[in-house]
Amino acid sequence: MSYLYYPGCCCALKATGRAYQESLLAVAKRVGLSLPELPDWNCCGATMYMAVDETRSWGLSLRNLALAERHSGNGGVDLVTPCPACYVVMKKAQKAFTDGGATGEALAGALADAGLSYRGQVRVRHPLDVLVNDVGLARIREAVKRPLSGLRVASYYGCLLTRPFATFDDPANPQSLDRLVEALGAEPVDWPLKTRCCGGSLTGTVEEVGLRLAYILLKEAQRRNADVVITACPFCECNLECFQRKVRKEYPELASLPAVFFTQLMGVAFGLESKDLGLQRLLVPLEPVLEHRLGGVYA
Amino acid sequence: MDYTPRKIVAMVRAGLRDDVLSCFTIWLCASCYACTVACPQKIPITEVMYALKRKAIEEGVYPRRFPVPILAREFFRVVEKRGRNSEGEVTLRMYLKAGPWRHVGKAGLGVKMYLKGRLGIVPDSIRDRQELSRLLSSLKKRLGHGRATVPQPAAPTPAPEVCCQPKGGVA
Repeated sequence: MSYLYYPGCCCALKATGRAYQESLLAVAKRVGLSLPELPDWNCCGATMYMAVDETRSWGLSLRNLALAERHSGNGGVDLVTPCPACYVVMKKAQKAFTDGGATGEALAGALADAGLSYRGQVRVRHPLDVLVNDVGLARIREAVKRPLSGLRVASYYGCLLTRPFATFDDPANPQSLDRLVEALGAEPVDWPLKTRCCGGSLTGTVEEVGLRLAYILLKEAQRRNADVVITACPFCECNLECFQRKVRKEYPELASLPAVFFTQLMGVAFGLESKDLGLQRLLVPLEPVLEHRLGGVYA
Repeated sequence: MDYTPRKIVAMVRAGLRDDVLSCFTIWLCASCYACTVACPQKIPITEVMYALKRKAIEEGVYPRRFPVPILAREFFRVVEKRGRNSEGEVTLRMYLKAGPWRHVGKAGLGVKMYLKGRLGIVPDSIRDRQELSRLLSSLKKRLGHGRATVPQPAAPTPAPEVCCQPKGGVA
């Protein structure tokens, strides 16, 4: 199977989700998954762009799909994107393109005007899907060097991973991350807010709305004695982690709770170096809870 | 939130165009699709909100100095120019246009992120900007600006008699 990696703007170098890319690539390498980057990729046209112009956002995504197809010699390829927003927009663009009609024709025509073409040979995938279903939990279990015994992990899937397209997991009660947590030797926390909205960019724009949404998630995870929350999205991670100090200022009863990318936790279980996983980039450090639960591995 | 989403849908149906397009509610939709997948009448509510946002921006009637539509426009401009979103640049432009005096308190987090290597100062660009701009301007010529309509529900359903009240038998 051949994969191409599409980082998206938020997971690229020097972006808020940088540690997501770092940890994903480190973990992928460890399980023998090759993820070469798609050359000259552009913005997917996600949420904010789509609020201005929808067809052009599909145009942006289709350039990436066309480049991926060309790069793989016009054969089938899996384009792996860690960002659920990119994931959804690319899937929407594919649908608009294959549905045809006036929009589909305009998209095909515009691609041709730019010297590009798309034949529908690209499968858009999320790394969680690839790791759990292609690489497989057995292989992941083999790669675990330092089982996370006793660590209570709340899996937060966020909104777009299973909505509106439920491609590899259940939209109401997804399980992929929980199964992965078990494979790492940790204990999945049963909680009801797995796919509730984190606030997206509202934490930065309309604080009173965004911070409250992040608070609801952190509070419930804490109430259920989670040691850490894992996410599969750069926005979710940023809201739950980077904005956590602001959330706690607004809601002082909330205690500090690490929130990390699921790939970072995988890397810890694989025994990878913390700097290869971008743990030093966290504003709410993960090490104290690891030391507490795993008996000073990180001391 | 000045109107609930249910009211927004009812107002659209009643033709209260100006009130809907200039409201705050549509900008508070974070596009999480929770309503869309739950709606028993299969109304694509998230897409309706997107369509209203686009119309409000096209007509320039969104609430003044409200950061969300400003963020959308700045994001759009930066991506048109460079092909990629640079979080630092887009956020800075948004705060400057939304009234910097109201957002001074947010600078601290930006500095922390920068120190952790999580916020770029130099905006990122794609190499082949010409190719992208040919594609986008061709699309604009073919379809006009923002001209994608609200997608229809998956299966044709009759309009509900009372908004959002599922009819008997619908789960």
